[in-house]
Amino acid sequence: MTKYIRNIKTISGRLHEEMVMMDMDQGKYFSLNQTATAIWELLDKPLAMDELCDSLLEEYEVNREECFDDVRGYLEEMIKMGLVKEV
Amino acid sequence: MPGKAKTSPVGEQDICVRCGFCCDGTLFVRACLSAGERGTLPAEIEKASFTERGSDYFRLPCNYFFSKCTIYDIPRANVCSEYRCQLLKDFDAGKVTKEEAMGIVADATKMRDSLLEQYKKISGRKEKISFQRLLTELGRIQGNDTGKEPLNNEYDILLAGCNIFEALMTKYIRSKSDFDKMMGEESKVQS
Repeated sequence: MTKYIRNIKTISGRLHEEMVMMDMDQGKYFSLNQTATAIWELLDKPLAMDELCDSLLEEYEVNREECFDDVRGYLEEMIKMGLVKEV
Repeated sequence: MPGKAKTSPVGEQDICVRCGFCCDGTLFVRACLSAGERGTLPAEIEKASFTERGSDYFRLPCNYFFSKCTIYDIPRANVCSEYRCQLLKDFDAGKVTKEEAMGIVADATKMRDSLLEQYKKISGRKEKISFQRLLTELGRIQGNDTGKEPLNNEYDILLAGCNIFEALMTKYIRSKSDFDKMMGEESKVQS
C-alpha cells in the first residue's frame, strides 16, 4: 500500500488557517489552505490514504468517499509541487 | 451627513491595543502624512517626518509607541486614526470574530519575536530592532553575500522565515489581494 510523507526540506509558518512554506531545494514559496495544512501536518510520518482519511474524519464532518476524493486531489497537487512524496 | 463621526465596531479598539503592528515597524517603515500636516504634529512625529517625491511621511517605528500609543488622547497625524488594516476590515465585515483576530495578533507577535530573537543569536547584536529593520539588515547581508553559499546557512533560513512571516502578515493584516498576487495561483495548494 502506497504511503506518503512530507518533504522535510521545507521551512513553514502558520497563521490562523493559512500555512506558507518554502521548499529549500526549489527556493519556492507555497501557500496551503486549511485542508492542505491538515494533511501536511499529519504527514510528519508515512501514512497511507486510508490512514490519512481516518485522522481527517475525526476532525471534519465529511463522508468517507468525499474525504478520499479530496485527499487524493490534495496529495496529487502536493506531489506535483514537490511538497509530499511517496514512500 | 457632514460632521458625523465614524464609530468603530465594538471590540475593534481592543484588537488595535493588542496589536500595534502598523505603528511599531512590523508592517511599515513609514506612514503617510496629509498635505499641510507637517508643522502641526506632535514633536517626535515632526522630528521623524520627511518629504519624498512631493509627498510627506514620518518614519516608523513611531517614537510615541511603547507597547501602545502614548499620545492617544492628543491630536496625532491623520493616518494614526484613519488607517484600517485588513484584519480590522475583516472583523468589521464579520469575517473574523474578535477572538480569532486576537489569536491572529498573538500568534503573529510570537512568530515575529522568535525571528527577531533568532537574528540576535546569529548576529550577536543586542539592541532591539523592528521587523522592517530586520528585513533591511538581511537585505544588506545578502547584498554582501558572494552567492556561492548554498541555501542552508543560518541567515538564509532566517530570511526564508521572514519572507513567510511577511506573506502571512500580508494575507491577514496588510491586504489579502496583495497576498493573492504575491503567491500566484501556481503556488497555492487549495485543490
